[in-house]
Amino acid sequence: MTPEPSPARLAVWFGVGIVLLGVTMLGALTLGAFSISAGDVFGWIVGSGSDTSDSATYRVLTSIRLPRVLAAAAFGAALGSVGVVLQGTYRTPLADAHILGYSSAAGVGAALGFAVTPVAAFPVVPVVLAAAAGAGFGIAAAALRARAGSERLVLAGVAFGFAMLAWTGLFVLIVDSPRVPTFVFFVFGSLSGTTWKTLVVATLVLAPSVFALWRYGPGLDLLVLGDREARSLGFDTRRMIPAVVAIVGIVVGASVVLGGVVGFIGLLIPFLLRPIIGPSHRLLIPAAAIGGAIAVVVADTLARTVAAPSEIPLGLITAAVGGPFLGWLLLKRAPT
Amino acid sequence: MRVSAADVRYVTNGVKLICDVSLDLAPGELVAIVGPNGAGKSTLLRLLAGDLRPSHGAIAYDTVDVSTLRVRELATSRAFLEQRQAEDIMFTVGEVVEMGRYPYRNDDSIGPDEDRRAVIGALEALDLVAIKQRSVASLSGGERQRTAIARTLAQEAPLVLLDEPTTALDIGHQEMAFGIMRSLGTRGRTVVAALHDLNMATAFDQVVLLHRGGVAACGTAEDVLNARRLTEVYQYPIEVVQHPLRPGLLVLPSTDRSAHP
Repeated sequence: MTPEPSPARLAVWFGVGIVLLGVTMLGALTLGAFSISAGDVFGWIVGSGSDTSDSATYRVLTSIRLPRVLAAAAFGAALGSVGVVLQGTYRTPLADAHILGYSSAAGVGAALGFAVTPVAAFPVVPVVLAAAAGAGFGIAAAALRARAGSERLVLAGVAFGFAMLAWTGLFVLIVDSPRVPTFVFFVFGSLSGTTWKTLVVATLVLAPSVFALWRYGPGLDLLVLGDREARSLGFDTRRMIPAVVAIVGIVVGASVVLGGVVGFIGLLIPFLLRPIIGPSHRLLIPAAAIGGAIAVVVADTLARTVAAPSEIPLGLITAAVGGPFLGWLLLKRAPT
Repeated sequence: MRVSAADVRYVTNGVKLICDVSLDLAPGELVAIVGPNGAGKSTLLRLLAGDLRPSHGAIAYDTVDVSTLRVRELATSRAFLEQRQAEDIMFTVGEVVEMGRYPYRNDDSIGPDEDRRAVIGALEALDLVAIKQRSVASLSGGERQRTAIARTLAQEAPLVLLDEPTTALDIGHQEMAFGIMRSLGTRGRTVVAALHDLNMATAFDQVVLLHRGGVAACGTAEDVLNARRLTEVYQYPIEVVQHPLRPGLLVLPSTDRSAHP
């Protein structure tokens, strides 16, 4: 139980996080099936490589590697921050978009969207349908939240998640369209299909939505006292919680179109950061966004380099490393 | 702020929890709500707080019907201490007391200095300054209770509703809590507290004795707390005598068990 650290210590932690994210992203740009040197990346950043902008190195860098690394960062930031918000809203450290079924619900919308329109050409439709499915699921869960209690909602989320995953699988098999990603995408995720278009459209949804969630931070803090106390202090839980989880659903929807369904980031990152940063949502949301971005950039780099030129699904890396690590942490530490 | 309840009834799942209660509480008045377990004390407090809506009748703050107030307006009109407090709170004592200022977040007329003054005042009043950096989860039950009372004070609402505020407190801090309630009263705040401690209730301006959801008696402690009535309501022999050391009453369980109704 660590009290909130001093502003100076927080500034150091955030500074370290941002530098680490920058270094990780630069490292990720250099690694892959096609090797790019750190000097090439640095030359491109400072502009000295512009005369060779048509070379294979710079084409790989700007058309493939850069959007993918940025997508990994955006994807991880979304999962990390949403994990914090869901844990605050459900008042349990076991809440996460994947476990609670938000990701699978958004996956159904995304699968429909992919089937209707080729995502590379027009990613808006899948993003809108996935966000709508995620938001709808969130509002339904909020309606049950007061009655069911956290533990039952987590269990119900797992059950609904499996059911929706099954429906997505059936849909993918029946439609059998090259437009729709493989079922593995909806189970373990992947950033291999990232294009600038999907990145831009998803980020245009993710950035303002995560900012909106951050704005709710002080109200979400009050929920640790209990719903009735929070309402008594002026946080209108009956209106605000459905709004918050609907925004969570939108964030999850946009992130599912970007990278599929990936678990453990939203659980692990807040769990690791809470003892360092403290429980305040205004601090924990941006911290988990940075931490989640670092984690997914690293995981995605491993996914595309460990068995290169083949790719390992992103969620396999996060589950293989994050699962045992989270289990160990949960057993080692008292519940928060 | 004058608080009034007119013919308030509250029914849930077909059970009448509050039956036709009418009250009129003046500004600055200290009101104790007493009664046995299940008499409806917490329900009546929640109705007065606007947390529950009466099935019949109305609650008003001055002339404003409470059911018409928005959540934020309610939070600046009344502070409400619930009976049970969450235990697993990682926030520090200081941060939890600061949460009492949430209703004023977007109020331009209230600056950060005023918030700071309210928080420091509440921490000092409840003897919490020395532990303000400790996480609430690491506190004892009494310290947690004092933190919750401090948060309620920091809210600086004209009506303060307290559900069993002194239950977890030692005798010294019980007296401190009563002193705070009295000082709130002298500053014009209306204080309504649900109490199990009938001796503490004797020091309140008005005592409301609840029995099976209705008002069995209402008035000064001398009017309400008589042995026969208490014995009947609590279904246990109770004696009421003059306090031997100070003015006022002393309520005791009777030594004469044959008086059990």
